[in-house]
Amino acid sequence: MSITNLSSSITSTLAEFGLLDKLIFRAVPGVVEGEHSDALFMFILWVSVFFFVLLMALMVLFVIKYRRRPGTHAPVSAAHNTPLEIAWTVIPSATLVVMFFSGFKGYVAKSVAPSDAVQMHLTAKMWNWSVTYPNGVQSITTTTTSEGGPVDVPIFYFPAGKPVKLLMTSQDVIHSFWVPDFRKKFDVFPNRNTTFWFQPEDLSPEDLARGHRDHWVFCAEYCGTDHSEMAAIIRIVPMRTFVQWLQNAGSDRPLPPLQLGAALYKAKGCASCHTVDGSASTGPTWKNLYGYEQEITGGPTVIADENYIRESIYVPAAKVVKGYPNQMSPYAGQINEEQLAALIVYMQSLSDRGPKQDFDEVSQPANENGAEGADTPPVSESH
Amino acid sequence: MATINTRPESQPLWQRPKVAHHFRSHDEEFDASKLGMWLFLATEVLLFGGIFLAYTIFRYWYPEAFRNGSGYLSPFFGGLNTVVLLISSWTMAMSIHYAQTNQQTKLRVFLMVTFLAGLAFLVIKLVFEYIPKWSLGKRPGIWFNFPGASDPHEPIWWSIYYGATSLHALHVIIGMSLIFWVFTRSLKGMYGPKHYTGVEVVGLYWHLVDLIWIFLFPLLYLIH
Amino acid sequence: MTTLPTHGHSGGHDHAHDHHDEGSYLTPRAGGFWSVIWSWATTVDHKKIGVMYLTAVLFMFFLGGVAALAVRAELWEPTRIAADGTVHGQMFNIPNPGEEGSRTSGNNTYNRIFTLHGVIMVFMVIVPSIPASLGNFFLPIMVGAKDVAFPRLNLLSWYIYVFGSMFGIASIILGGVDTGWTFYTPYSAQTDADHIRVVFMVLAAFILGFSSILTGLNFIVTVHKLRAPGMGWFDMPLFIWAVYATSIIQVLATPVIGVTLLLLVYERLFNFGIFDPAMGGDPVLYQHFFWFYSHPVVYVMILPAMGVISEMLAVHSHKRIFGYRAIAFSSLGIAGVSFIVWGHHMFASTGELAAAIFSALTFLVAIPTAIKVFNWIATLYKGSISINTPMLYTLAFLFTFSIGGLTGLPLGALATDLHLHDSYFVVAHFHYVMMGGTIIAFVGAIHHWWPKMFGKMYNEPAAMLGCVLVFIGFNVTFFTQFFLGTQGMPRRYATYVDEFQTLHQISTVGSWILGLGFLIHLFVFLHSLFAGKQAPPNPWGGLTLEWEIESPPSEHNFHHEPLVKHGPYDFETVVPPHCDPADYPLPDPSQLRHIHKH
Ligand code: HEA
Ligand code: HEA
Ligand code: CUA
Ligand SMILES: [Cu+2]
Repeated sequence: MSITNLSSSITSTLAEFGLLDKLIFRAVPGVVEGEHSDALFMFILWVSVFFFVLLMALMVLFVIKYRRRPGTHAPVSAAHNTPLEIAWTVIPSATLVVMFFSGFKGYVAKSVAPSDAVQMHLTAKMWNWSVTYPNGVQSITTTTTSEGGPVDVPIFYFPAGKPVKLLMTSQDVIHSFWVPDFRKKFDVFPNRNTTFWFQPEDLSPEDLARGHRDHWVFCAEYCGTDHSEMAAIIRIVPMRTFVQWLQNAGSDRPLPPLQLGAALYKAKGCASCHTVDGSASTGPTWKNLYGYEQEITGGPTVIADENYIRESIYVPAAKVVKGYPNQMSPYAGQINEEQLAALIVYMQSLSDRGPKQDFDEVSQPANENGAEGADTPPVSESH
Repeated sequence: MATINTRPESQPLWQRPKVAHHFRSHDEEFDASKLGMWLFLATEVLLFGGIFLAYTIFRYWYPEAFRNGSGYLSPFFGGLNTVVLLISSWTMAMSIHYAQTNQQTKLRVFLMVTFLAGLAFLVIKLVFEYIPKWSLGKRPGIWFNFPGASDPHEPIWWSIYYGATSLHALHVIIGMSLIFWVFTRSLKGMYGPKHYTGVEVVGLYWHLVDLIWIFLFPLLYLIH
Repeated sequence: MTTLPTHGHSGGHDHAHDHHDEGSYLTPRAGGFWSVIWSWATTVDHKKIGVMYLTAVLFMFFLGGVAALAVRAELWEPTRIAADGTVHGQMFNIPNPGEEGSRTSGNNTYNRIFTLHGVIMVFMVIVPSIPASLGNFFLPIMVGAKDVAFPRLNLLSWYIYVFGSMFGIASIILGGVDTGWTFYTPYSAQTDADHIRVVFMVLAAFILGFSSILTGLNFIVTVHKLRAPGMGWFDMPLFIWAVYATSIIQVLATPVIGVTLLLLVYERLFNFGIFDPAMGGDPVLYQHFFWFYSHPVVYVMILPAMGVISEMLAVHSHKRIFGYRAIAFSSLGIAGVSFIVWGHHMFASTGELAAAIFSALTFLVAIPTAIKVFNWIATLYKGSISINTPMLYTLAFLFTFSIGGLTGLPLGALATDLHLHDSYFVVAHFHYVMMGGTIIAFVGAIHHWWPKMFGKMYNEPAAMLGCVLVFIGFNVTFFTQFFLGTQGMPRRYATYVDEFQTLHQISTVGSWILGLGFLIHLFVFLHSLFAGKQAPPNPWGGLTLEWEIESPPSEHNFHHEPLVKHGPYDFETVVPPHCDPADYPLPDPSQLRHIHKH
């Protein structure tokens, strides 16, 4: 699905963000797919207004025109009219077909990340969000002011114009990651990975003057006491600012996920059964495992995605790759979410189908204090 | 219109039935009761449908756990219980037959036998299945404490097993209570040819309880 | 169907006057206060049971409404919990034991109130509202029966309803529940882990389900077996069709929520783990189970409302309903398709394929509803329309329900739902269909049948004022919420960012107008009961069977088994029973030739 197509077809409708748009959407969408779904919303709105006004006008007209006059009978009229009935079945149905297809198209655009999106990890817990950047830096908290006084919220920096794919998981109950300005949300589950991708629109001149553009993040799935406090801010900044921020953010930061994964591969004993160079061993090799189809003993073929890897580490017996013995012991309780995420990143880096793990600009010597840039992980060669 | 009851007191109760005032005839009342029971059975099927669905989904996800799990069950006692229930279904059907043919003693005896078969089912279930398994640690969910387990999802299997069989056992108990109620009414001579709505309707229910077991038994005990 | 061009009514009416000394179903047999109470508590008369349901449901509606006003009051201010822990702008803060001084116990209070509101409104008000109260009272009469098929079962379902509601109330008294009306796992399985009240609330919903199964079952059998001679399926009033379709859904869908809630109880009491991801269970499985019931149940809520709308529309515009068969069949169509669209509540949690299928089916279910709306408007065409409270409510329904239904479309479209899901747009949508659809139809129908049920007229101008206030208040309250939703306000939020305050305040003001409107209705009803004028048997000129008998009906409804000789909407050929032909003159028969039979 080509996003550019989508946008060019609708930019004209969005040329002007008028009063009505402001009342409805408050702010222009921060991503291209948002423009499409706004246009679809407006289409549904106008179809609805058309039928609603038509019906209500007729209703009021009839009530006035045919009000009861005691002593006279109602004018005789048919109780049935086939052409009319066919018309009012077919015409609305036709508009529904348009809504369905357009809705599906937009849904795919919203849910399928482009292959050059850089992957990061988003963790939800009661009642907080955090993002782990490719170099291991954790998102920070900022204090913003509101009428009631200062409030602490997590703030996530992202570069303008670059596609990002968040790999999301929750540590407790279900949450939902909603960025109203991106016109999109997706649920975040415990014990499972879901994704949320976006490519922030470039910064406008006003944004650039301010240095950034902010978008609210809200938790949209009810998750208990402080569900309504579970907000965050996405701050879109120019690439240069982003790179600087990333490198200054954590001086005592933990290992970046990729390096942590590589270390765990040895430390947890994975290496004794799994190779990383494609050679055979007790278990399947990790080389080109991620993203490839695996034949399962006594079951259907599966794609080795994040959720498959999660299951195979926590519950190895669930889906054993054909031709290998079922003898790995389960690692549930021994590998936590963070370590799991790191192992997945490591496996992804070993596969030519793995996602992009960092921005190209990060490793380029574009920044002044390039010394620190050296310890950012290598970008996977595939892109 | 309600049939006006003009028969002498000396006649057995079933020959002087009281048709509820809003039914036109006894036949209509009989039909209505049967339709009502069939609808109720539909709800029961759907109730268990939820359980069967959960079974199917988890079996698909965790085939190993379910294979191991059903391996722990005893097809012998499960089979025995199946036989017990099948017999009870037959005795239930026979009691309807005896009501239709006005054989009052046999009607009562067969109702009692059906009741006892239900009891036997529960006893077998409890004494030979629940208690030994529970004491070995083969328990549902968080209670699971069986050292011999080889699949981490066996607690889920036991949850499904206990969930399904306990819900079924509850239905056996309800069915037995209904049978007992019909039995006491039969002692008063309330059932006879053409007037056996109660027996018929309770019979339908009992057959459903049986039928659900016929599905549960192979799913839980036999398919490995 | 036989249509007699003369005054052909059922046999019952000719003799109605001879029997007035028999008294109505409301006339106490004898004895003092307690024996009257006892006679109500043990009654198997469908009319008394209907009245008892009506009372209970209205009481629950009042409770749920008070909770709603509390929700709106809390949302007057954004309420910020500042970095230093100070809380600004909070209305309610009822800490749980042990939680005092916690900076966010106010949020807890809010969460309990909206859960309470949702649970009461859904399980105790709207599901039983029209079918159990008005359906119980009028379904047997309208098919010409003396009672429902199983009167004792009927009484039992009322007691089950009360019993279930008590469980709900007990859980509130024990401290309230903060799960939302959807009880999503894993949150619902772990909140207040050591307390029984969540189990109580879930059990309440479970028990109430039984009540609605038994009612539905009773109605299906009644419609099948107890129709009066001469009443074929297509001579049934549309209200009966609607309740019949509703009953089918109730019987087929409720058991599934039964087993779901039961598994949830297992989960909480015994930690079964079926919905617990930590144990290999699946929380999304719970959502599928829940919505498999709870989507069809939204049509349980709306179909009876559509039924009473059809009745009121025909009677108060004195006109044959347009497209009888289309309306009847679309009820069944809605009932059928409603079982396969549940996934549209989970677009933000399922995969693409499922989402696409459920989205397509969702649009499919909108079509029969659209057909009905068109038919209703066409019924007004060339009618003879009386403006009174029932008719005003009918028009209000057409207005608000259309908005509610049409706003279901952007929710059903995938791309837009990813934005709107779990926002105030959804809140506004479902209030427009539930409150603006069902409750408005319900209140209108209470007025429509009030004279029949209690034998008293109500004060028309006052009731119309109430209706206007409810209509205005309702739209002010909830229309604003569409904008809140599209602008990004999530639902179930005790606190919110400052941007949304203006819209929230407008909404809150609307809720006061709404409350005032209902208060007026309450007074109108009380006034009518104690000081209302005696009602004639057929104040509106209706043709269905309930208008042929006395107001209020006698204990056995009909003195003779009715024989149905004309259709429910043959206004062109039949003078309404008990009415003066001069008030309802018939058109010249020669004009009728081109009328199609329905
Ligand atoms: C009475 C109850 C009722 C009714 C009748 C409906 C009717 C519909 N609902 Fe609604 N719905 C709810 C109660 C109801 N709903 C509730 C309670 C929730 C939220 C639950 C929760 O999460 O707490 C919900 C949520 C909900 C969602 C999930 C939103 C989300 O959480 O993301 C969706 C998505 O598809 C949806 C769609 C629809 C549709 C398409 C209809 C259709 O049936 C509407 C059909 C009607 C019309 C279309 C209008 C009339 C027709 C015309 C005026 C003619 C012109 C017509 C056309 C052009 C088509 N509803
Ligand atoms: C039938 C269903 C129904 C009805 C009628 C209503 C009625 C109202 N509801 Fe709601 N509501 C729900 C079902 C319903 N609701 C559900 C299911 C939820 C979701 C819960 C969840 O998220 O879990 C919800 C959630 C909900 C929210 C969102 C909470 C949140 O997400 O944070 C809000 C906020 O404004 C709200 C407001 C209101 C208001 C102001 C009314 C008003 O219309 C109320 C007006 C009524 C009164 C003011 C009572 C007055 C009565 C009398 C005076 C007695 C006399 C009566 C007569 C004689 C007729 N409701
Ligand atoms: Cu997290 Cu709501
Ligand atoms: Cu739905």
